[in-house]
Amino acid sequence: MEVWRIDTANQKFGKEPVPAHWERLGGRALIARVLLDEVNPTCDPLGPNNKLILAPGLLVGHMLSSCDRISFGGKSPLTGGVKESNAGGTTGLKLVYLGIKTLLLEDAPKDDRWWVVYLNKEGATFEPALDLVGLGVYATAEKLLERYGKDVAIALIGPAGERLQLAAGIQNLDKDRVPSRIAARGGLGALMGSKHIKAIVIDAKDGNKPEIQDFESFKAAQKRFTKSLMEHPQTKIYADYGTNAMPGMSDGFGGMPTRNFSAGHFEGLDRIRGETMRELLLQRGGEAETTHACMPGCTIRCSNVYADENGKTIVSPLEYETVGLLGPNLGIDDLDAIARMNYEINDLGLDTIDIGAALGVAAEAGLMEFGDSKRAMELIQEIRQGTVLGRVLGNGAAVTGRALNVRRVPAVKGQAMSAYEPRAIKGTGVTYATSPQGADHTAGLTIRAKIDHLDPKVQAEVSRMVQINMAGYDSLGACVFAGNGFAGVPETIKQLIEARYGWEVAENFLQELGKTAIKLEREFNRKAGFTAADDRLPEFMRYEPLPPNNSVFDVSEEDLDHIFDDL
Amino acid sequence: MSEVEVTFQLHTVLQIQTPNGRLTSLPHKMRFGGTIADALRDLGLQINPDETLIVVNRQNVGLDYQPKAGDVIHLIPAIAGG
Ligand code: SF4
Repeated sequence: MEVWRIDTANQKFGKEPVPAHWERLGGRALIARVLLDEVNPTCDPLGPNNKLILAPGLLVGHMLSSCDRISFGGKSPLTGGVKESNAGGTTGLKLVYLGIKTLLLEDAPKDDRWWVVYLNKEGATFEPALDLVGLGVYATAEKLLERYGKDVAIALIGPAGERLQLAAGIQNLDKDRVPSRIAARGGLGALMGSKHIKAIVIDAKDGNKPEIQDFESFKAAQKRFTKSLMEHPQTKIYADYGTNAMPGMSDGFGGMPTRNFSAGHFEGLDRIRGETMRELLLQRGGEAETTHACMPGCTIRCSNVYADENGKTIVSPLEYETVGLLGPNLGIDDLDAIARMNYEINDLGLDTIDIGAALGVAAEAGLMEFGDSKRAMELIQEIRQGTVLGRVLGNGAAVTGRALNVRRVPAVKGQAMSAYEPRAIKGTGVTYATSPQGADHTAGLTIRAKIDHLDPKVQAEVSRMVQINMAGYDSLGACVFAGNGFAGVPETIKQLIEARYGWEVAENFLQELGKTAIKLEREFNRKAGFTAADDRLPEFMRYEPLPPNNSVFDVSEEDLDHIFDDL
Repeated sequence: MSEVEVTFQLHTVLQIQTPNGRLTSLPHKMRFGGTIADALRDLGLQINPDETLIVVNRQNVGLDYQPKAGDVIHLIPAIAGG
């Protein structure tokens, strides 16, 4: 495999061999390594010295169920620290077919021209993107598919990324060519926008499947992993309800963020929960689908197509985090309204979590009444129109809180929390506080652990363990839900890696990889100026009790400071 | 005090198991001092204890928990994220 470099200042391209110390890293761990090696941690994230890094995980390229994710990274425009954000879809698979270990977008253009970067077996070419500038994500994808044919993968940004908005993400085509799989977090869409790249088109028709050193052993491990995954009880839950199986569980612990993180129970829960959504979709029929795969080969199929009363698609997929942040967090209990907002936010190329949290903060500031979905949609339209208020909101919850002088802002390191209240699910609070990524449930969610989620003493250990595993999966390119399969047959990770690459790796390769990723990320953040003071939840969560548990976040600062002492 | 009335709240796939396919709430009268395991047996509800969270008053409890009058007992097939 190779390193491909794109010089966005001079529209040039080069390939080189992979440096030896990058070889055994992939996805999230590789991004941290590249950042430390090549990006000045104190650079301006939107300036020429930052790089946008695309890195498929180590297992990507084989249609191993739910293991073809692509990681995007760079110095985060949102947090100012290390950033990796990953997505499903087809981008990872096609990059690997072209033999790309990592793709680096470097420097920054000195004029105002915009480009599509087209990749094929020959290399990269720059094609003008003038006709695409200003277009939403859906229209852009349609035009690109017309131009380049239906077999390409595409990573693209919307108007928010072009305008360098800090909550902008990078969208990817799903297996049905819908640009819905977003590497949402941390403002990487703005980083791509700063390079004036509207889209990266990956044409792998002359590419090859990656070589497998020991095919028999790989197939045997794959079979065991797939069996374990299919037999896991959670697989069925995700297939039936998608991630929106979660509201009942979060609310059951009093941890459903409600009205800008001021309560943990939402009275309208029954109207938005996954059980209701499933019935609605089955009843509506037409284009509605309760189960759908985001990438070829996924056997879990946690995704869905949300359709209106006439069976016409509103958005695909509608996920729990979006339902949580645009629903209860705004006091809204109308799934159709949530789905419509989701579509608009996607089309702008923004992160629904940070925008949902920003709207919650705006409601707290008096710009909308909680529960008023019409007003929420108007505020989203302000982002599209680029009004001053819209430009504030498009930068996410932390900036919105500052601009509107709101103190209850659910963010860590400038990044908004997802739909788990850290005063009720305290282990996830530890993750929000201590993850080098900023508040992010995908960095280590603890809600499934059979512990007392309110006991401050037991949280750090659980969070630490999950954070390490998640950093490992993010480096393999494995979807979090594939983890259920690996949990039953953990030895298959070693077997798959050894068979694929011909290496010899440790039994606990997953954890080693995860530890390496977190260690490198912490190092980058330290050099960027982060200290222990950044590993904290917003202070109001320590003194403002959250009903109905009436609990505060009381995990000791000592636990937060020492969580990664022995990495 | 010989009997207590409680309610079982069924989440996601556990609802599919019930006779009409979407029963969310099951009221139940049980012996005072009885456990959740006893009640599940009486109700004929099968759960996989390793993969089910039993949540009462927003706290994880075990199959040996003895419900009190008025308890709402959530049976939540565990999932690890959303
Ligand atoms: S489980 Fe869901 S998110 Fe993961 S790969 Fe499958 S469809 Fe995509």
